Amino acid sequence: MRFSDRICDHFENPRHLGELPDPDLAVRIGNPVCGDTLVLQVRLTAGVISAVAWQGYGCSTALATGSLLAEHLLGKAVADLAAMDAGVVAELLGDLEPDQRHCLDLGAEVLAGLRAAAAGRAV
Amino acid sequence: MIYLDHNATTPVAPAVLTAMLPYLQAEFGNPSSAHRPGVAARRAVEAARRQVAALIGAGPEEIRFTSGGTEANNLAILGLAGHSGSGHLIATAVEHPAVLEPCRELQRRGWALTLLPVDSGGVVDPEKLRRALRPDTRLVACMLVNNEVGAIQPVAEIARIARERGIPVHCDAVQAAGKLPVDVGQLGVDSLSLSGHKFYGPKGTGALYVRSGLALRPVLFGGGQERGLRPGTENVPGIVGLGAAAAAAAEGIEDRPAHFAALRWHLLGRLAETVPDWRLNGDPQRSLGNTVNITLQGVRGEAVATALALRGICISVGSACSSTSPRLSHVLQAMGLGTRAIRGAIRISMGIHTTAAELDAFVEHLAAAVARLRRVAGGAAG
Repeated sequence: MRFSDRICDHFENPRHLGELPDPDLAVRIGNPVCGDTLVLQVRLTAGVISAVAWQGYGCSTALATGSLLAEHLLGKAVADLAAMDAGVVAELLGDLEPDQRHCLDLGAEVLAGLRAAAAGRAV
Repeated sequence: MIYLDHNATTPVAPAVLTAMLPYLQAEFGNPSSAHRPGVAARRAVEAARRQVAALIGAGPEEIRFTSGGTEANNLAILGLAGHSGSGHLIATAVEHPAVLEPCRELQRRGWALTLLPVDSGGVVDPEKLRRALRPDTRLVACMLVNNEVGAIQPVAEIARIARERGIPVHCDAVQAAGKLPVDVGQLGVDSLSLSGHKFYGPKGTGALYVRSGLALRPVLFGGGQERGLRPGTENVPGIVGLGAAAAAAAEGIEDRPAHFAALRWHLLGRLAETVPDWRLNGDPQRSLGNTVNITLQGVRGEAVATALALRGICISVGSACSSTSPRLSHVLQAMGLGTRAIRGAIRISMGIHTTAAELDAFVEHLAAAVARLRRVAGGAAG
C-alpha cells in the first residue's frame, strides 16, 4: 500500500466514529475543491473534552484525519485548543504522499473551527 | 490478489517473456549491424513487425515501432501537423491525455482545436464532426475504445466523413488492440496507435500504423531507423515481446468482445443484487465489455479503492485528490456527470483471464466497503 500504516489503520479502524446526542461544540468543515467533509462534535466536562465523535465523507486520508483528530482531542482541555495548529495535524498524519497533503488543510480547519466554536461558547 | 485494472496495464504473458529472453542475452545484436548478431536482431524485428501488422490488418511496411502508446500518439499528431504551419484540428473530448496534450501543444503553437462532445454514453456523434469541419481542418483524432468507460467510438464513420474532405484521421487504439478485432482498412484511418503492455506485452513498447503514402514528419532525428520516422537503435527484446503479444492476442480475437460482454453482464447482475445505490457510467450496448465504470452514491471512489486495495483487490478511480484543483475525470465530465458523481466513480477493467468467481469476490468486498464508508459518512455526506 502506498499510504502509511498509520493512515491505513485509522482508515480501516476509525476511532470515535458517530454522533453525540448533545454536543457542546460542533464543527462541519467541507473542502470546496476536493469535496471532502468532516463533522466533529465534542462534549465538555469541566473544561475538558470528555467525549468526541466524528463522521466524514471523503478520501481515505480525509477519513483517517477525522479519526486521528478525534483520538488526539479526547481528554484535552479546551484551553489547549489554542496551541493546536497545523503542526499538530502534520504530526498526527505523519508521512504523506502529494495527493494526501490536502488533508493537512482539512485537519487544520477542523481545529480552527473547534477553536472558534469554543470561543463563541465562552462569550 | 484480484486484479481488475487491466486498462492500466497487464502482466507480460509467459510466452511473451520466453520470446524476449534470447534478445536480452545471446542475441544482443544491433539490427543495423551487418554481421550475424545484427542480422539475427533485424530478422526478429521484422518478424515482430509482421505479427503486429497482422493484428490490425496492416502491411508490415506500415508499422513503426515506438516506446509506447504515448509516443505513437504524439508522433502521429505532431507528425501530421508538421506539414502545416498552423491550421485547425479536431479531437473528441474523451481522448486520452496522450492525444489531448499534443493537440494542446499544437494549440499553443497557434493551431485551433475543436473538441467534439459526447453523449451520456461517452460516444461521439459523427454529425458533430461534419459540423465542426473547417476549410483549414488538417487533422481529426478519434480513439477507438475509451480507457475510462469502454465506449466504442464510430471511428469508421468519422474517418469516412473526414476523408471525403481529404483530412487525415488518427485513431488511438491503445485500449482496443488485442481486445476486439481491429482492421485499419475497415476503419479507414490514416494512422493508428497501440501499446504493448495493454495486451500482455512489455512496457516501453508500442507501434504506430502509418498508411502507405501518408507523409509524417519525425519528432526525433537521428540514425534513420523505422524509415526515418523514429530513429534510435531498436528496442529489440521489447519489439520481439510486442510481436509475440500481438500474435497471441490475434488468437481468438473474434470471440473476445462476446467473452468480455458476458463477464460485464455477470458483474452488473451481481452488483444489482448486492450493492444499493449505484449507477453505470456509460452505455453497455456501445461499450467494450471489459470496462465497467460505476458511481457509488455517498462515498468517494478513492476511499472505496483504498479499502479494496487493502484487501488485495485492484481497481482505479475517476478523480484524484488535490486541494488546489479538482482533477476530475474529463471523460465523465464530458458525459455530463456532476462533480459528486465523478467523485464516487470507480473503474473495473477486466483481462482475458478474469473469471466470474473473481468478479463475485470483488462484489462481496465492494458491498462491505461501501456499506462501511456510508456509515462513516453519516450526516457528513449530505
